[in-house]
Amino acid sequence: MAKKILIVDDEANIVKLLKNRLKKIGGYKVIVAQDGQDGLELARNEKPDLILLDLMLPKLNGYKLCRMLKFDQKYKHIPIIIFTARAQKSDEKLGLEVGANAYITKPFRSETLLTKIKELLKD
Amino acid sequence: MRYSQKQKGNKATYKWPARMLQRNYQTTLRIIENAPFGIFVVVKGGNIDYVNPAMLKITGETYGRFLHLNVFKLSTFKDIGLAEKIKSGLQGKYFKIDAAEYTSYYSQKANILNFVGIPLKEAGEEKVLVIVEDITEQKQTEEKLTKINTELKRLNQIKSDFVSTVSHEFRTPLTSIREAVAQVLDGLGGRVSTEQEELLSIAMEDADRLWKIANNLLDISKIESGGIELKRTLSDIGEIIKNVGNEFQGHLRKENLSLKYILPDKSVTLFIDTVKITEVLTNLISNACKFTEEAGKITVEVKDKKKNVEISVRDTGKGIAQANIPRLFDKFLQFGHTAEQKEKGSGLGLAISKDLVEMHGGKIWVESKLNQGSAFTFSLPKVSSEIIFKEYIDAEIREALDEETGLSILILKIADFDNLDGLLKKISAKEVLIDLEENVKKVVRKDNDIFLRDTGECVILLYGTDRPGAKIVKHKVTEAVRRYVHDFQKKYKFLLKISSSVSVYPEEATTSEELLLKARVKLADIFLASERRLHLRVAHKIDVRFMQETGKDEGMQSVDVSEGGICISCNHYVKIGTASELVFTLPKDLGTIRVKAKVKWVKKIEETNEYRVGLQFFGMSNKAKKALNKFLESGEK
Repeated sequence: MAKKILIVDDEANIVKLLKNRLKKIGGYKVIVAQDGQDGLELARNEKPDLILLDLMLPKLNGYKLCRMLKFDQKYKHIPIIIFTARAQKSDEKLGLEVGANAYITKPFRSETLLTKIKELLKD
Repeated sequence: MRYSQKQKGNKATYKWPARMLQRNYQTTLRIIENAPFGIFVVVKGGNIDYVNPAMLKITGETYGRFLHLNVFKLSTFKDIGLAEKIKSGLQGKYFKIDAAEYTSYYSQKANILNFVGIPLKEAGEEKVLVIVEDITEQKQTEEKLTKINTELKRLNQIKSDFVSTVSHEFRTPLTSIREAVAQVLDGLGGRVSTEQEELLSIAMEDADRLWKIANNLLDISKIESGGIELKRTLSDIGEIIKNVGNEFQGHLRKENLSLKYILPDKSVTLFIDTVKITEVLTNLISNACKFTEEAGKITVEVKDKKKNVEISVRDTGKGIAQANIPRLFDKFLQFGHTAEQKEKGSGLGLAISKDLVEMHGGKIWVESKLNQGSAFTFSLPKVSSEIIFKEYIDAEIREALDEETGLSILILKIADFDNLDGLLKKISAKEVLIDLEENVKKVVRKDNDIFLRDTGECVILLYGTDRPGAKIVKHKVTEAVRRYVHDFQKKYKFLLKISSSVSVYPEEATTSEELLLKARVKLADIFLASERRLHLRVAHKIDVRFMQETGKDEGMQSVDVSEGGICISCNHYVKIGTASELVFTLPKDLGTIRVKAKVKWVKKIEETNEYRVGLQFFGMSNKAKKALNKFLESGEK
């Protein structure tokens, strides 16, 4: 069965393109949320196999969202890849602290992202 | 004019100019009246006896009005402290007032003036000669310059912020554009016809170009605002060059260009930021490719010089006209906008390379002749290991600061490391140090860094460790060291002396300097304590002459002598730290020794008036050392 990926990001264009690539190259099923609140709901209801999470989100920021999922027994097994335009070392450490499985800085090469996704979905 | 000639009473101590002036009254008067600086004379009581035209010009007063002024009564003089000073001048004191804000009494003209006061006595009367320099214009110019400077800085900041914001704003939509075009070209939008592919490739190419420009702009603004920090590591420059070269292989083949390396036999290691230097090399090699025709040759050469390393990228391309060379590294300039040019860039590559090289403390320059190719060379300085070490610790302290954790340094020192090689036959000092490191590694966390220094020190950086944590680690390490020393003695029949010391950031020190110093100072304490037992001591009663700084010359008797110092018996207390010269004669004709010594400790013998004073030698001549050692070894009592 095709794996389900949840993208939580408020930049419409990037999301559209990413969704296209994930569906056509990776063969994944993709669902999208445009703010943190929606993202949290979708994560809980749809139980995706992997989450791509942007940090700069309206309503509920990426860190909080990540922490909430990772500290919840029901959802902590879902791998989360954080991506953001900020590239400071402290952000990276914070990201890993809230339990993110990987951290990618925007702009990223889509090949890199796909490889990471494959890796995380293997286990 | 020299102001500082002194007069003793009525008699001038210089005779010639005085006589000349007395004889040439008219000349003297002309000199004073035409001097470009203000002169006025104040007499007892504060009245003004004389004023020259220049002073009137400066203050905007008339002759009559100025002479009316009283120095002690008016705020004009009192407010700037001139009244005080003139008072002291009348008592014979010279004075100077710099940059006083003087407002003239009648004219209300404001000036900034320097005053020099010279006491005089003429015909039994005390007077003060005041020389005045007008620096009003100078100060105004200074102020203007400061204002302009501040404004320039502000504008520069605005420019940098603008560049940074714009390039950020460009990157986001560019990301989408490139991704969208890439997806179509990759076939994600369905089959692509050849024509579509061609058109889209053009779009992709220029989108890439814009992308590079935006990134370069961002780099420049980061460098300008000091936002770039070098992350230095010890790297092999040859490796870096080869890696960059490999990235170009495809392109070189396509353009039929050859790339050759000339590297020194011994690999060259530098303490540099690999990413940044890779960027510089990429830029230079890319330029070489751009401006060289088919079948051209590109050579990268590394020259190992004494204090630095020079890396050159040479090409057999079209070269650069002499006229263009001075501004080559400026921002936003690019030459050769002709059809021959294969690729266009943003014109920032060389400017960025220059900044990156200079951040490393290096220089970059070019040698080129039109149609004969170009050679771009940059130098990188070799850095001493001491600096590397300190920078490394500084970086770790910054990280500890960022993460609000502690950082501790634990230093293990093998005593007498320099002589160890000679004392051990089956194993070298270096191997001992490496062995020690291995043993320590077993008991500390894997992510802690250990440095070995050729001074016989094993320095362990304990990350995220505060004082209680450091104590625990020190305990574990000390145990491991003890075991090692024990096993070592069994194997090599030699007792290693290893001391340890810890200092903690931020509780005990906040800079790498302090941290190392504190650790070493504690190390020293350990040493000194055991030092007293280290030196071979011979109890011997020699007559010693003890010559103190105060000039006192006393005869004492020594209690014992060692190569490091002497203990003498004295009937009075001597202050610790007192430096003195000692003179004593060794028996058996070994000669007289004169040596400087410092009092290190003093002990009173209970129930007597006798004090034992321990003195440490310093600056003993080699001849004296030899003689003393001979005496000590002879076992004479």
